[in-house]
Amino acid sequence: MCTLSCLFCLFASTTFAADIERSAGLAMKVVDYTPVRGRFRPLKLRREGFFQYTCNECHRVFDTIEGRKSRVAEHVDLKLNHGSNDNCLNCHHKMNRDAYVAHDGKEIPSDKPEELCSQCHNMIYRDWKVGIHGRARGSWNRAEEGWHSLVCTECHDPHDPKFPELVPMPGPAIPGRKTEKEIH
Amino acid sequence: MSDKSTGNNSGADNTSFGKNAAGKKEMFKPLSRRSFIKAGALGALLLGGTSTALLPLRKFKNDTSLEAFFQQHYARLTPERMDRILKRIEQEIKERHGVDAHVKDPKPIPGVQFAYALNISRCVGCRRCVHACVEENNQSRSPEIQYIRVLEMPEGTFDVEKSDHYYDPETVPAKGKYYMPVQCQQCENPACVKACPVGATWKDEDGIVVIDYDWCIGCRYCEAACPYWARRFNFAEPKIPKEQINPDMAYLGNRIRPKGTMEKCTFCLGRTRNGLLPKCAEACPTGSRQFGNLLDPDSVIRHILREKRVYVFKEDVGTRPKFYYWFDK
Repeated sequence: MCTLSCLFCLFASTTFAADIERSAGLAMKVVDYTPVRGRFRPLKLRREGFFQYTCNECHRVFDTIEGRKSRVAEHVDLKLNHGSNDNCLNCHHKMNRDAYVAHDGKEIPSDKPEELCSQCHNMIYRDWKVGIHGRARGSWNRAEEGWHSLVCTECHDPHDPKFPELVPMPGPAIPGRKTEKEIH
Repeated sequence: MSDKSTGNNSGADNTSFGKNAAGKKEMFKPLSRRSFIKAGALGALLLGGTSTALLPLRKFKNDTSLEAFFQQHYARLTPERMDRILKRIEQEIKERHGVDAHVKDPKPIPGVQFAYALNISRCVGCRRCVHACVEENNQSRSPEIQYIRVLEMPEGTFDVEKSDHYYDPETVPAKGKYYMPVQCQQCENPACVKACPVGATWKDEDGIVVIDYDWCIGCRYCEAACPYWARRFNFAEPKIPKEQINPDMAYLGNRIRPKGTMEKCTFCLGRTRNGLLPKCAEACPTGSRQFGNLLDPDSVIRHILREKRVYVFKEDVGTRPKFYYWFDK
């Protein structure tokens, strides 16, 4: 039991944390085991602190060099690991950096990342819309309050969307081989 | 002749009477020391034996109240009596485990049939569900009881004979494996219910197969009848660390079971009958577990049944589970 709780603490402190910001009230009991990914950062605010600015404030002046792989200035800590989708301007709008870009060049507002993602991941988008993609949370009754689905970027880091492999929790005691955990 | 005979007869009577009188005299003769000690020893032995034989009863009295002993089957309980029983159970839990529990008896919601869907192409076998379930349902930690078994299966087969549920790799999913968690399938045609000789387990209106733990005699016939190995038996008094006991309990659900009774997954009826998700569905980090109302055409379950490739486990045994496995990659 001790090892179990230790492992659990380890998870809680390193890779897992309770994400209860958005789910007050009914869902307060929800224990979120989702690995913590990139915080949901609306595109508007790039950095928090004294100076807050939008993407456009820089990119009005600085243009993005097409096909450039190295990251500069605000983007040095960014790691792009999204398969063959390795160009910033595949997703970010060239003229208005505070918005995403659709395949036809139209703007997608920054608070609707699911519309952007759905352009490629259309099958998953269809599942997400009915609520069978992603963690089940809140209530099983869709008519009831307390059910809501998170948007893509609240779980997936859009620049590195694949989740890391998980450490399995301990298995059942093996009769005759592994002794059962003692409780005092 | 006749006189003689009568005389003889009367004489014989007299003698027989005399003999009887003599016998009585023998019976009432004053007790000898030997016979007194004999009788005394016999009496002491009898008394001692009887009291020893009845000793468990005295212990029993401390354990169980008269009301608990004469408690009726769940279906025959009036609401008032149920209230009294719930209070008594709360008191017992307080005495035995030192926890202020709230035991409730949530009833099935009309127009709801619960069903479960599990995406085996998304499940990574991390066992978060198993441990969330243990915590939610107050399962005994020692001896260990777990409702969910996560089977690690080699890719390319559905044969559970080739599975392993003791797997322990560094990280999951392991290469070339897929995972299939198995728990109570809440069958439409449950074999366990048919096997129960006392009617302590039955299928409720919302499709959940429940157990009246106080009515269960612990014969384990249901455990043998279940084709999914979903039922667990309390071989000992459940041991749970006090701080890990979940105080929100349900009579047919997650209250701490007595020793010698069966238990199993109840789709967390204390939660689901109040609109919440089962703990395993909520704990799953991959979102492979989905839960919903089979009778609601807009529910996730109905969508999965309509759109996805779904199969049920051991379809050939005819239990018609309400636990659907699906895959979509």
